[in-house]
Amino acid sequence: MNAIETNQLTKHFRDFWGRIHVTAVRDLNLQVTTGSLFGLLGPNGSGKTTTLKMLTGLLHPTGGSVRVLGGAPRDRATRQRLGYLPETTGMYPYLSARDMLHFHAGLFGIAGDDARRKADALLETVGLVQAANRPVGEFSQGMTRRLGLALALINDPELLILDEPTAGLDPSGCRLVKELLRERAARGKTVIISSHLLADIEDICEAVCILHDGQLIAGGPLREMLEQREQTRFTATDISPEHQAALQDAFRQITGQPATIDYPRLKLETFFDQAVRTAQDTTQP
Amino acid sequence: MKTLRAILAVFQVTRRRIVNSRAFIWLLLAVLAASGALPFALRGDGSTESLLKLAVIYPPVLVFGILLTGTLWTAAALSAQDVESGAFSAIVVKPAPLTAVWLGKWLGLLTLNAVLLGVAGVALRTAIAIRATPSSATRILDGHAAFLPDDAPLREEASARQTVIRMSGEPTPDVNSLLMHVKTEAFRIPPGQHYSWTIPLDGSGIAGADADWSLQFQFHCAAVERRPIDGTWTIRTADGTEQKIPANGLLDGPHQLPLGSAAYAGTVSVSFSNQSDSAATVFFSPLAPVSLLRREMPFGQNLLRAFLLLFCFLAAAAALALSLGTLFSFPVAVFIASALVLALLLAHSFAAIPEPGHSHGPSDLAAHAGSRAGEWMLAKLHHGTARTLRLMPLRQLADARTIRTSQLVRAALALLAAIPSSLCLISGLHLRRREFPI
Repeated sequence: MNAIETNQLTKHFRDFWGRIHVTAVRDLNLQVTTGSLFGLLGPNGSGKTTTLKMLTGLLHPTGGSVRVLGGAPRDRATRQRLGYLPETTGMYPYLSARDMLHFHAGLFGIAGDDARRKADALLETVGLVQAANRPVGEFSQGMTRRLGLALALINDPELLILDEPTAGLDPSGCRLVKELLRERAARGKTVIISSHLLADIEDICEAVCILHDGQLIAGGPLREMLEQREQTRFTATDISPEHQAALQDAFRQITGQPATIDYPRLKLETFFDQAVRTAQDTTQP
Repeated sequence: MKTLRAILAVFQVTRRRIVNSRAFIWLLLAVLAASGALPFALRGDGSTESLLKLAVIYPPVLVFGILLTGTLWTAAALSAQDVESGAFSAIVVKPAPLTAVWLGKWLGLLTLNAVLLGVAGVALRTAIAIRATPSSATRILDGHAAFLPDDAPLREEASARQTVIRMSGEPTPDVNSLLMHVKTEAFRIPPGQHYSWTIPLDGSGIAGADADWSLQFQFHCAAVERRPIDGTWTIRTADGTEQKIPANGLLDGPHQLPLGSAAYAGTVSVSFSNQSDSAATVFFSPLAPVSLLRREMPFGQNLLRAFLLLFCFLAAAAALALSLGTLFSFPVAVFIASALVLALLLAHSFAAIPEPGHSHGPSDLAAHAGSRAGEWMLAKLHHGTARTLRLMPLRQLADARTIRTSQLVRAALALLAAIPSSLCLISGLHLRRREFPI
């Protein structure tokens, strides 16, 4: 079953005189399976944010149709099950993080102890417990992003739409977001992420689509798209130089081709994460 | 229940947003200055009565003006700036009805106005209490029922004049215009002459009951300089009782003379005699030359009612600006809201011009087609809003008239219920259709 289906989805922006100024999205056909982590990729101006805004009902399609969780994006029933992190999180700077969460909970009709419990749990999840009572106006960009994510999760949505969720986040924040999204997908929730940070998408998404100039230019399961079937890799642990030379000779004799031997590298993110954890362990009493 | 929670959530955020804004502090200071400090800066003709009269004329008008400006500004900002900053995008993707969001913001604005009007009311009441010496002087500010002269004889004369003019073949003026001329002529009292007005009290339901009465009148002098006028008021009741009240050294303008406790009934005759050695001819106002006032309600209670009415007007203004903020950008919304309010005031002032032959009056303008169109629009605007604008209590407060419960109910129905709910529905429908590209 698809959480999202678009059919020939098109969006024109018009100028003052009603003439088509820009075609942001053109004939987009998209299917996002329920429970998947889906990435929306593309360079700046490719139509990612416009697509997400049409999925959330903030923009009306000029042509085509869109179904979100089986209904129209502007249906109250759809919105009840939807979480959205916009690219620019318009927050009230005088409210604290906790108050912002209570406010958004109220918009879902959640109040009292239930709202307090959800707010506290989400503050813990996004790592903002220490800053829970600070005004949002004092937050860094990364903290604002974390709070935005918490706001999008306040109703435990079935479909989570995130526009550049890791923008401005430090590596630990990025890792936190990724873990959170994986955990949600494991619980059968659907997540759509728009980003131009390819590494983040590659890390977590099962399927992607790539937009360029408002058109879909590639899409499908990520594993299938990236797999290079014409190459084969063997992995082994702690092999001496003599054994490596012997293996290369044997490989050449059997296949008639030379084999390349190198050492796998850690991702910088993983290395950074390990270094920070080590430093934290040594500084803690 | 969910909708109520959404309204409450938006209301609480709006309330905090307003209280945390600098505009609120400035409004509070301005309102305190207008209501608490201005009564101490006012100087009348030296009497406590004139000072108190001025204290219920200027501070409430100023407070209302400040709060109206603040309300239009804040309300437009609440909706327009939210749309422009992207805060609205985060709200409209939620399942809360957009009318609930509008309502929450409007209720927040009402809280702002309630707090500021409350502060202004307490400050004004305190200032008046301090300035009133003796303290019983505030009785002239109490709420009164007003009984006006019977103008039937003068109306008959106006009709007769209209008939004569019609028969002569000349352009026939409106009977009300002629009535104003007749009254202006009749209420002109040179030194040594007098004029009597007949004031019917029957049918008021109070005839014969003991009550505190006073006489209110307004005149201006023929003299270029403001010279004090000496005269005598005579009150004659139906049973022949006569009460003479000397009124010496009166300067032109509005006045209120206490008559004490009496049991007037039937028809009361009120006459003014301008003394032969008086300084000038006096002209009583053709609109409200004299009126008998019967005390009904303490000033504090009447002030509270007046401020409740002002609150209703501010609530309607808040609804208007809030709705315009959902349609236009912030500066455009503020401009349109202010322009509408100014047009209403202009239309009201235009319609209130008493004499058609006045240099700024309708007849002069009627000669030009462009002006005629403007006149027509202002007249239509006035005609459409006159019933609502008549609920404005500032004039009644200044004239020491009781603000009736029925007036409060009508204001609540029109300004707190009908107008805001219509605007709320329109805004909700518009927000459902509009796009949020930011």
